[in-house]
Amino acid sequence: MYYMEFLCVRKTLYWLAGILVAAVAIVSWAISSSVHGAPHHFGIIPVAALMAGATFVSAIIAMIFGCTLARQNAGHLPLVWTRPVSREKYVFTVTAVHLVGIVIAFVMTLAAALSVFAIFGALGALTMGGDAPVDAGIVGRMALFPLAWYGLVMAITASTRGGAGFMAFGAWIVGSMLVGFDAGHLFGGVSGIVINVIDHINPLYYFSGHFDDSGRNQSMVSNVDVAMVGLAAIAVAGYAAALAQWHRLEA
Amino acid sequence: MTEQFAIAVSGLTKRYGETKALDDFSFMVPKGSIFGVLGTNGAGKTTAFKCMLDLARADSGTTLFEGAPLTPALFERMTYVHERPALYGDPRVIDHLDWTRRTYARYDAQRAAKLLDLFGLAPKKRVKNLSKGQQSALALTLAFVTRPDILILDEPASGLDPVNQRNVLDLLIGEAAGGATIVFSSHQIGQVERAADRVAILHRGKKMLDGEVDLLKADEKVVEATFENDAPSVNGLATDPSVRRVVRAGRLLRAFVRGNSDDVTRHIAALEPKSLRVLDQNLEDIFLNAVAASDGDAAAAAADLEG
Repeated sequence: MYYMEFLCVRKTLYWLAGILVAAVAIVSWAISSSVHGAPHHFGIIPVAALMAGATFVSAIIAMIFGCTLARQNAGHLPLVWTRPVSREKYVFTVTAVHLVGIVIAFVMTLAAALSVFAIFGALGALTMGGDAPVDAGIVGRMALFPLAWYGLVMAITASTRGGAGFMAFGAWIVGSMLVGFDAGHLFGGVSGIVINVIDHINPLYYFSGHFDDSGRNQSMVSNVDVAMVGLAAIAVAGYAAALAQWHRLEA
Repeated sequence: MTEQFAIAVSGLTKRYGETKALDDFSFMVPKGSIFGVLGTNGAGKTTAFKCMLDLARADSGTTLFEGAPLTPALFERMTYVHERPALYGDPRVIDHLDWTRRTYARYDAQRAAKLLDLFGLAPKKRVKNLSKGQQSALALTLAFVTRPDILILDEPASGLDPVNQRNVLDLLIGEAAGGATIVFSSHQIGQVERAADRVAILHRGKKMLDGEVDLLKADEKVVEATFENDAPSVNGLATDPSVRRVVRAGRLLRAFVRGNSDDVTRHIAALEPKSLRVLDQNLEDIFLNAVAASDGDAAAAAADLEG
C-alpha cells in the first residue's frame, strides 16, 4: 500500500545522503585548509549540539514528507482511493514510512557530523554532558520537533493541489520570524501578546533559544515538559486536521 | 432484486455550485455484462463514476455493488481507470506494477507481462516520459492485471492508437466473457456499439435513454426517402410522438422514428418519393437523436418538418 511513498522517501534520503557527503567533504577540506596540517583543536563540543543540528535537518525532511497529502491531491486520488484499504489506513501506513524516513534522516545527519570529528581524530572532543547534557528532556524535544512540523505542514497543505512545498517553506520562514519577534520583544502591548499566542502553534517556539541579558542561551520555553506537550499537541492536532481534510476531499 | 445486478445506481445527483452535473441518474448492470455510458463532453459521465466510487460525494442517490454499498475491501475485486491517468510521473512502469503486486492478492504476473507486451510498454521507463496513449495503456494494464470482477473505465481508449483501441475492446469483451462486469464511457460510439450489451445516454447530467443495445436499435427506425427534386416539407408529423427528428438535406428526407414506423412510412409515401426504405438506426443515430431532443433541436426539426 505504501510502496510508492517508500520510493519517494528512499529518493529523498538518497538526495540527503548526497548532500551530507558533499557537506562533510567541504567542511573537512575547509578545516584542513585553515589549520595547514597542524593538530586540530576542536575544544569541547556537546553531542547535544550535533543532535540539535540533526534534528533541524530531520525536521526539514519531515516537512517534505508532510506535503504527501497535497501531492496525492494533485491528480492521484483516483488511484489512491480505489485501493482496498480505507483512506485513514492509507494515511497511517504512509505516515509509518515517513517516521522511519525521519529517523533515518536524523541518524544520517548525526553520523555525517560525527564523521567530521572522526576524520580529524577528534571524537574525544565530544561530550554528552557539559552545558547541554543529553537527557530525556533534550531527546524528547528532539524527537517531537520534526513530528510537530510534520503535523503542521500536513494540516496546512492537505487540501491544496500544488504549491505545498512553498507553503511548508513559508511556514518555516514565518515561524522563524515569530520566534525572532517574540524573543526580541520587538512588539509590545497587544501586538506582542498576539504574536506570543500565535507562537504557541509554532514548533520553533518550543525548540529555540535566545540569549538573555547575561549572555546565557535560554530556551524560549524553559520548562521541558511544557515544551514537549506543546510540540506533541501541534503534531497530534495537525495530523487530526489533515486527516479530517483528507476524509472530506473529492477527487 | 438488486443482488442479480453487479451494479445498481439509483437517483445519483451531484451539484457543483449552481450547476447540476448529474441529475437523478439511475441504471443497473447485470453481472457479466458490458454497460456503455455515452455522452458529450461535460455530460456527467466522469462525475457519475466518481459518485459511484465515493471519489466525489453525491448530493443524493445510492450505488450498490452486488447488492451492498461500496467498501474499501471491494476494491480487491474492482478496479477503476480515470479518464486522465492518475499515475505518478517519477516512478517507472515497473514501479507501478510492483505497487499493484504488493497491494492486490489477485495480481497476475504472467498477465502483466502479456499486457506490457501487448501495449509495447517498456518496464524501466519513467511514466512522465510516456506518451498520453502509453500512460492510458499503463493505467489499463494496472486495471486488468488483477483480474477484477468489476471494472469501471472512464474513456479507456482515450489517447490510444487504433490498434490499441481495438486491443482494449477485445480485452473488455474477453473479461466480460469470463464473467466480469464492465461499465465504461466513451465518446466513440462505434466502440460502445461493438462492445456494450447495454447502454445509457447521458446529456447535461440527465439520462436521455438506456437499454439493451440490440433492443434500442430494433426499436429505432429511420424512414429514408429520396425525391426527384428537393425533399418537400412534411406536414402533420411534428405532433407525432413517435417521430424524434426529421432531417431534410437536398433531395433526401430522413425521419427518425421510435417504435412502429408504419404510419410515418405511409405519410411520407403519400408524397410520392423516388425511393423509400425503412432502416434500423445505428447507435450513432440514436445518440444524436437523444442529444438533439434534449437540446431542443426537436423543435427546430419540427419547424424544418413543417417547412
